[in-house]
Amino acid sequence: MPEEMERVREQIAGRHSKSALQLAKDLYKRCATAESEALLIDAYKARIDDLLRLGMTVEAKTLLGIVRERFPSALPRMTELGREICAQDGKLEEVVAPLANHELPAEERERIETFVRQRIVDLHALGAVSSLPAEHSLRAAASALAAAFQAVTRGPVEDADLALPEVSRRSPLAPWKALIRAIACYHRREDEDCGKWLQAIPMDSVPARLLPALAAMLKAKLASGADSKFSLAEEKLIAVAGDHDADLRAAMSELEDALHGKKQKRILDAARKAMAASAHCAAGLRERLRQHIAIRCGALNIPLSALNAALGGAPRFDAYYFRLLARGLEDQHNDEDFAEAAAVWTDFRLAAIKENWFAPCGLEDGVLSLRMAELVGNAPAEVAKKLREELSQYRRPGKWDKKEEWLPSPGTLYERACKADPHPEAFQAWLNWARKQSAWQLADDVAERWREVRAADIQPLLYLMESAEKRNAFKKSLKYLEEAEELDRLNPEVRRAKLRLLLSAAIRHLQQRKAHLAQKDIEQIESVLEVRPGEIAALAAALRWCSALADRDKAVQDGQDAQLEKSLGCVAAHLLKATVAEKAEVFTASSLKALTGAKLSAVELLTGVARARALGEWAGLYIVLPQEWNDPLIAALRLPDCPADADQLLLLGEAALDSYSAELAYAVSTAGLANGGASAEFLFLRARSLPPLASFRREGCLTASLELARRERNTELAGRILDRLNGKQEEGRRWVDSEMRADPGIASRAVSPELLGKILEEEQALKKFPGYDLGPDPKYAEELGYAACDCPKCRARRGEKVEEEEFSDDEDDFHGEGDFDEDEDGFEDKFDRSAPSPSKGLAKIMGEVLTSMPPEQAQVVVQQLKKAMDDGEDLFIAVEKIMGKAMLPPKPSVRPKKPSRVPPPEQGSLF
Amino acid sequence: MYVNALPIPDPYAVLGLGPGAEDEQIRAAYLAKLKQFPPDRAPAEFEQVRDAYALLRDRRRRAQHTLFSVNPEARLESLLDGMDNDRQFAGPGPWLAVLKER
Repeated sequence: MPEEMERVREQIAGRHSKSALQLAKDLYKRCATAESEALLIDAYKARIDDLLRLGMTVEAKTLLGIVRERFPSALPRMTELGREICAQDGKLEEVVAPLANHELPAEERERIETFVRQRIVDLHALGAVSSLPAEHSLRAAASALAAAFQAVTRGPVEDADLALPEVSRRSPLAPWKALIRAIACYHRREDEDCGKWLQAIPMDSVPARLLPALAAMLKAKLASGADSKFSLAEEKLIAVAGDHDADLRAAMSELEDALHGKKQKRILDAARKAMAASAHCAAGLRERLRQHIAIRCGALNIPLSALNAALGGAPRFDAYYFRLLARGLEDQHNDEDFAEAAAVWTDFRLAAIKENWFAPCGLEDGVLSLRMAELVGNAPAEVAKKLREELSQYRRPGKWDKKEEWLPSPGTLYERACKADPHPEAFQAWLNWARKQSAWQLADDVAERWREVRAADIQPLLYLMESAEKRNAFKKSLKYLEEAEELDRLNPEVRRAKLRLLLSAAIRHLQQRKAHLAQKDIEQIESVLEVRPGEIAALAAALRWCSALADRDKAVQDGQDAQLEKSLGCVAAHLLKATVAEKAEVFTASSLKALTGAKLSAVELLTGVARARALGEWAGLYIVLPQEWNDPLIAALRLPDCPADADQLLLLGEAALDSYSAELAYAVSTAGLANGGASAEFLFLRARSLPPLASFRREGCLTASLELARRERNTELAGRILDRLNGKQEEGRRWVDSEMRADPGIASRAVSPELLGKILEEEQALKKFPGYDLGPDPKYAEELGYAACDCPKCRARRGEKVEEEEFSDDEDDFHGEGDFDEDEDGFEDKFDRSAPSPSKGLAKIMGEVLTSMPPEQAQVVVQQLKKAMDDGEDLFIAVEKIMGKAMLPPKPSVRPKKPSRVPPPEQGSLF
Repeated sequence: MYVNALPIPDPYAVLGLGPGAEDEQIRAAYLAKLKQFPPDRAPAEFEQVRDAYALLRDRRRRAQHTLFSVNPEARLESLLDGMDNDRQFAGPGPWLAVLKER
């Protein structure tokens, strides 16, 4: 018998209440002891409890009635079940009615309140019980909680609305208050607070039933057993209110990794998974994701049909998509893609107008057209032509507006841009483009259009003045100048233009040996308002000196010479005279007095060059330095207390670049960086002075200089750096560094303070011009993110061996084996035809070096050398400039004569 | 090569505005942010606010930003930032269904 009783207890514990009750009944029939009766009542209780759990209230109620009738002594033990049945029947009045009695024993009150906390779900019913007075705290709390629960599950709720002062901390309904606040936090994505409120819910209370589901929705492990299996109701709740953001983010991250891995199958699988994870997102967001994924996959040439299948359909071709595609093409930084991007911007424009993003001929249309014009203008003409042909076949005439040109010419686009947005920047861009075209009338026409629309702008007049002056239409040029002076006589640009015009006229008259006309020009020059005192007088003196030189009037020459030296100093006077005399074509070898370098102090040398350069820049005379000045200048720069200030150094640096003196420019940047001021400018100078092969280091310097310029809000310098990255060469400049390649991604690269500090520190420490010797490791490659990159381009830039077949046909920056060979052959031909035997020796060394170099680097070197030789430069100087002195074989005893950029000094003089 | 101008944080986000905000809203947001980040107390934030306002107050620069600021190479997860991907409000029904289970 004890065994049978034990078995009944086991059945009850195992929630097998039906069989437990049957066994207990049999036992009680046979024994009828008090112990078996107690066990039978336990079995009834378990059975009723199970029936209630299964929602079989009627059956439970019937069974409870039987127990009460047969076993009156068990009534107290059945009270809880009675309450439960009442609660399930919605008859809460009976359950809570005793609470209206103020004299209810505390024990009984506690029992009822525990029941309320553990069993009652229907707050509305509890709030409406008639057995309690309306002002009863339980009713008030239940009503407030019912309203708050409705609100918090339906939409955003302010914190103030969840204060719920009706619900005290001691109320049996207090756990509901915590639950409601947890739900509010959950919807506000305040997950930490949500977790704290959930922790405050007692595990035996009704609200605790939500803990597993909420824990899963938060992806958190709460104490309530988040690992348990979910019921249907819980699964439904998680499905409709669960947080799918984390899943979606994980899927997106996986897709991102797959895109970086560039494996098609993995990408498509990840794309499929990502779209599945986005199933719960709003339709708009889902479409955006699809469009972004399609663009990213398109860039990797994933087959369209497979991609669309993975994405569950093609992306919507709307303005957003076209904008994304056009920007993606722009970011390829490739001439062909620029043209294609412009064509896609046409698609965007039409879609955007249709979708009411902006109106045609409005500001946005103007801004867009300007961008398109720049893109088409940057694309090679043959590429644009080919694309136009392709587009004419691809576009279906019936579907597209025939009037719309898919790839308009830059001229058309600039015109549209200026019509829609007549801003000086737009006109300036149009004019800049027109100036590059062969017919001068086009640029003049653009300038005239500019004048028509913006009569108060000086720039078109200045351009027209310059254009007329170039065509020797001096009177017309003066007419434009007068108009500009009428608009703004004090404008520095107008004053500068006037000076340049008159200077140009004077030089031309000197060339024509018309001294009397030149004299008139000089007098007019003297009437120009000065920016810095003495400069106009110095220019006039230099011109008079030239005139006297042409007339062989030694007395006047000496007088002007003395005046010049007095106002500018001997070095600046020497450079100015030499430059003006060369331009006026009156220069002879004995024109200038010798300047003995040993007798000049570093101060004289550096300040003199800077002063001459500053005056030259203002007057439009780009003063270059004799090559023989390099060593004395470098020596002066290396003095412990360099006497030049930052402005003077920068002027000297620019002069060095214009004089093809990379080593001098490097020395200037060293001196400037050592002083600690204007680091951005000196890093930019350093970048431009580095040999072509130091590409990572140059990129590091450009990156750091741009970042510093931005931090210092030096927009002028940042603009110059960006212009350089965009391949724009400064007008009138001679330096060829614009052909050196720089990664345009520099402009958008994030630069940490650590990287910035490192580059600055290392560049300050690197005082020696690198030449061809780049050292064992490419500088900054790791910091710039190239060290780990295994693509052929980066490996080649790091100096690692790269097989030529590794460069695929569509590699844009590398033109393939054929191009490379062609360039190299051309280079060799040039050697063979014209070079004397030492040059052949150099050619042989160069040939060996070039073949040992990565193709891309070799190609850059070859192009630089070709250009230098096309410009008539000395081969040895060109090699030294590009590769450094270490590359050079012993120089020939007699160097071939080359056309000098600056007048040669007197024989025997240092200069 | 074609390179975009200086990259800065989304100026609308810096000023706490939605895209397409009008001149008045931009100015009001700027003034509010100035109070929040005075230059002497929060210089870095102030600079961001000032730059954002300088960009948005100029209609031409604003148009450039609106048209060209999209980044096709942005990490895909970042697309979810700030987008309408809130946790869905399901109403009381699904919650009560769980609560009614014992």
